[in-house]
Amino acid sequence: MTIWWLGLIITVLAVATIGFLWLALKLNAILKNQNSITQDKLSSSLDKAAEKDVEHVFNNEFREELRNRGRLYFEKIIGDNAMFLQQDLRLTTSQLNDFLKDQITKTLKDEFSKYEQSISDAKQLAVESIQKTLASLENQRTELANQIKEEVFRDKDKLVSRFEQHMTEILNHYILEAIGDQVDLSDQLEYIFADLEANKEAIIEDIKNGI
Amino acid sequence: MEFKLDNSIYKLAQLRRITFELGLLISKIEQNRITNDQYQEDQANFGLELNQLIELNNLDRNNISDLQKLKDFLEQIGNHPAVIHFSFNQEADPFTLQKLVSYARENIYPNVLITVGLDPSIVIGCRIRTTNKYFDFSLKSRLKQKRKLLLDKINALQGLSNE
Repeated sequence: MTIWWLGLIITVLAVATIGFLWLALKLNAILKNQNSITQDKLSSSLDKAAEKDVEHVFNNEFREELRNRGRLYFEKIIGDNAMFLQQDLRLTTSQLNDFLKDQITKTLKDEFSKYEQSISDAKQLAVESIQKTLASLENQRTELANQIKEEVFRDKDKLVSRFEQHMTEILNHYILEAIGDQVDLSDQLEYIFADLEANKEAIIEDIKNGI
Repeated sequence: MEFKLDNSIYKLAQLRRITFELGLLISKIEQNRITNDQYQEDQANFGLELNQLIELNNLDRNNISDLQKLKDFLEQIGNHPAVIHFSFNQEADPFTLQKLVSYARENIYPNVLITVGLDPSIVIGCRIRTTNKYFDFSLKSRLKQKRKLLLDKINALQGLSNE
């Protein structure tokens, strides 16, 4: 029962509040309309009065003066702006120049450094290649020298062994060429007789067998 | 009767020629005997060698029997000749050949005959060929025999030079 009464009371209060608010808003709107109508009337009357007095204050000379002042001011502003523009332009140009210079210098430096690096790499490669070539040439030279040495020794041994094998013929030929025509047969008789004496028995036996 | 062969007679062909001449002489003497003509000694008709041979053996030129024996002796040598062939590196002069023949007949065989050939490869010495054997008395053969000695000497010299 109590809750019902409480709810009812609250409902009534709410409705009353809403009604009151609606009423206030309505009244406010009506008042505004009335004020605006009043202000419009006031401003229009003031405008009319101002128009009448303008001709009196702003005459042709005053206007001309104003125009001149405006022109001067405008020119001054234009000149100032032009000066500022020129300064700004110069500054910008110099900044641009510096920037370009820096950029170009930087780019060139980079390129030159790359070029230098590539040259040094190529030089290093060339040096390594030359060193390898030299090393291989040295190896080949050593091998060739050893081979030649072996060949020479082999040929020498061959020559020596051939000489030893044919030494008798060589000496015989040499003596024949050297003194072959100078040795008389009569000078050799002693040598021949000595050999005959040494082999006498065999010769005699063979002769007797032959007869 | 022992006969000797002159040292100037050393070739078989020579011997046979002399034998033939001796035969002619004998038949000449016999002819003269048959015809009762006096045999006139005519040494010019016969070779020097035959004359030397007759003189060497102290024979009478008119004695047919001695001459016939001499002829038989020569024929016997000619039928079974003892020949030694000598090869030299040059032509042998007659003087040297006579010495050789003299030595051979004194030391080897009394009636040996020799033949001579040329072998330019022989520098010093000679090569001898008998009936069945061959003897090399050349310098080359001597060098071959002494080869080891020469090699030893060369090796010794090489060792010295290396030091």
